[in-house]
Amino acid sequence: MTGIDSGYCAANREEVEQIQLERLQAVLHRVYRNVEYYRESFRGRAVFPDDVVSLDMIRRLPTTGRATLVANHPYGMFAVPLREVIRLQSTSPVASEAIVVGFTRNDIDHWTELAARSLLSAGVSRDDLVHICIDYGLFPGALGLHYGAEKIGASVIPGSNMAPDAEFEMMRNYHTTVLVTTPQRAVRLANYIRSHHIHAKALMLRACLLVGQYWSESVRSKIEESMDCPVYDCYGHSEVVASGIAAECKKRNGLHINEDHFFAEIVDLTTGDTLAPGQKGELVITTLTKEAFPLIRYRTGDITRLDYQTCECGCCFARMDRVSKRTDDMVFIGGVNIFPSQVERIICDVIGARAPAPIFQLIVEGNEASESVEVAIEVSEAIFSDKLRVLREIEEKIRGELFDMLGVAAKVRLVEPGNLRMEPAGRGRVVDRREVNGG
Amino acid sequence: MLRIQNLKSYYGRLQALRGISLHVGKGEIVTLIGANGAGKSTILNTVAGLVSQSEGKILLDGKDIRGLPAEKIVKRGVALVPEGRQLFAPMTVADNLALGAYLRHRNGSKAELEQDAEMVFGLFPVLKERRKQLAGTLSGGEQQMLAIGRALMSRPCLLLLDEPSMGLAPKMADEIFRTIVRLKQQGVTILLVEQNARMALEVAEQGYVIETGQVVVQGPSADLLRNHDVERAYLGKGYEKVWE
Repeated sequence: MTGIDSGYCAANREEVEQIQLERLQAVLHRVYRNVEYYRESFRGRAVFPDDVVSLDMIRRLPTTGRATLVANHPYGMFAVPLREVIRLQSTSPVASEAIVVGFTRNDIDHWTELAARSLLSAGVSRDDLVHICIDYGLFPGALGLHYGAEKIGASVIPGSNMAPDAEFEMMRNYHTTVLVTTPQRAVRLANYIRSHHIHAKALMLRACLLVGQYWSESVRSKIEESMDCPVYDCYGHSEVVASGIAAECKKRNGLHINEDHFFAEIVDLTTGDTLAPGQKGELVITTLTKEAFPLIRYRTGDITRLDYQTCECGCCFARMDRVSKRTDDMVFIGGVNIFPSQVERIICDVIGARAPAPIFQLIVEGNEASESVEVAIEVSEAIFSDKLRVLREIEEKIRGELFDMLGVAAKVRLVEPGNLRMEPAGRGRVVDRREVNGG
Repeated sequence: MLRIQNLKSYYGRLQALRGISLHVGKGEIVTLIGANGAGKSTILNTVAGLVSQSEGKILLDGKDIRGLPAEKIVKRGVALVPEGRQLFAPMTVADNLALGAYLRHRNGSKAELEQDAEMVFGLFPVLKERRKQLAGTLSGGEQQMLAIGRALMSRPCLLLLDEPSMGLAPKMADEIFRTIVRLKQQGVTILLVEQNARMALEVAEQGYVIETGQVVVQGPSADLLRNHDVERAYLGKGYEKVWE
């Protein structure tokens, strides 16, 4: 392993696979000994850690889904006693769908190293001034990148929610050279620079890393044009580590997965069978080094493709395509993951309705100024009232709950039945019209 | 340099290793730690060809050496310093060293062997003073030095060290560990089994925690020093429930 100054570059595929096998076997022994859920689910399939004698054999183990993490909340999936855990991160604010991820001291150090690698591969060095324009409270990946930038020895400015003009002034005055932010905020800043006819060289940016949300290639060219710096993608997952699982190198030819810490597979969306390299499907991750909250074959819900060819940069870690789609209808709003099912539960709680759940739609729109979220709900029998005041009260109450529970300031609108255009199988509950997604 | 995959070893019907995978890079020190009976020494003995029943792969520079007789393995550059030294007590220090070069004795030149003996004496000057003394009359620390010296006489590229600090005074143990570091600087690759986890992890780059014939933690030494499983393996600190 090379030091942090030079970054990490695996040159030999055989070596990577040896380390993966060793670490995979060790983590399987640990979860089998310490996590009841895994012990039972392995036994249920009559497959034991000793049976995994090669990386391919991992296919015999069951996959783990989000629902499992919810069912074993809070500490059922922890592999160490709580006293070993130095950080807890709740990844879902709704009580009935809560998941809490724990980190030991070593887990935090590994995450720091992984985030540092992501920054290094984008060319960040100790001479850089890294401005992290993300809400730390809402997006835990920011903390990882913050630690990573400090580990490299760069100067770090922790961000907050600033208006684009203030953000721009700060970056110009402090000579920010690296911007780490969400695509939404990057677009907002790019629009500000454009609309004020500011020259692209006004900022001294050398690189921009975008995290926490999917974004299209058109966003990349737009930001690159207005800020005159290359834009890099950095991938994380809130239940694994929220930043630093994979990142683009300077060749920007896919994201290098840190395979010494994660074992990645692609599975078929419906059958769950492992697909051959190069085929598109759902990314499944096994954490190889996590101590507190190891995940075995975790279905990330992100759709991508893996490429095992050695990259032009010389690194032989597998590369994944940029994620542009999910298997479910989760949506990122302001860096927060929102599942329509969470919204549904809140609506049901407010109106006191059981099945069938009300028909609703989550409409996300975004322009240069900000994102706006609207929740349109069809009036059902459970909601119906001939008094306008009662309906307004319901709207107000749902709005308040959404803000309290999810941290999302949404507009709530009750509409007449049949007004929402839905697709079958619960799809179409999210309408995303944001610029970031290329729409 | 050494790459082991899914190694299983048996003593009769008793399975001592249950699928061990590990690797040692060229010029590295890698340590195996774990409680008594976890299987650490069995790993070394299996690599050295002393355990007859085994499965899996032991690749030395890409070639499988598992199942070869012990002398062939020595010939490929693997030397074992066994637990408890196992010297030839009624023989002199010089003779013990000469036996370490037994495989080269027949076709190697005498001058070469003497040169190697001088190298060992350079490493452990006290052995030179006592070269005519019987091995059994040496102190524990000196015996350990002789055991290491004897292994070095076969000019190994991989040295397997089994509990080198066992039964030694702390000062002597320090001396042995300093030697281990010096050997590494000279380019010897070392697989080290130690009860003294802290000292072993301080000199090693990588470590493996072995429990009941399985690897439960693998990683850089610095990580292992802070890992609770390491504590558990050493201090016997168990726990029943995760929220305890």
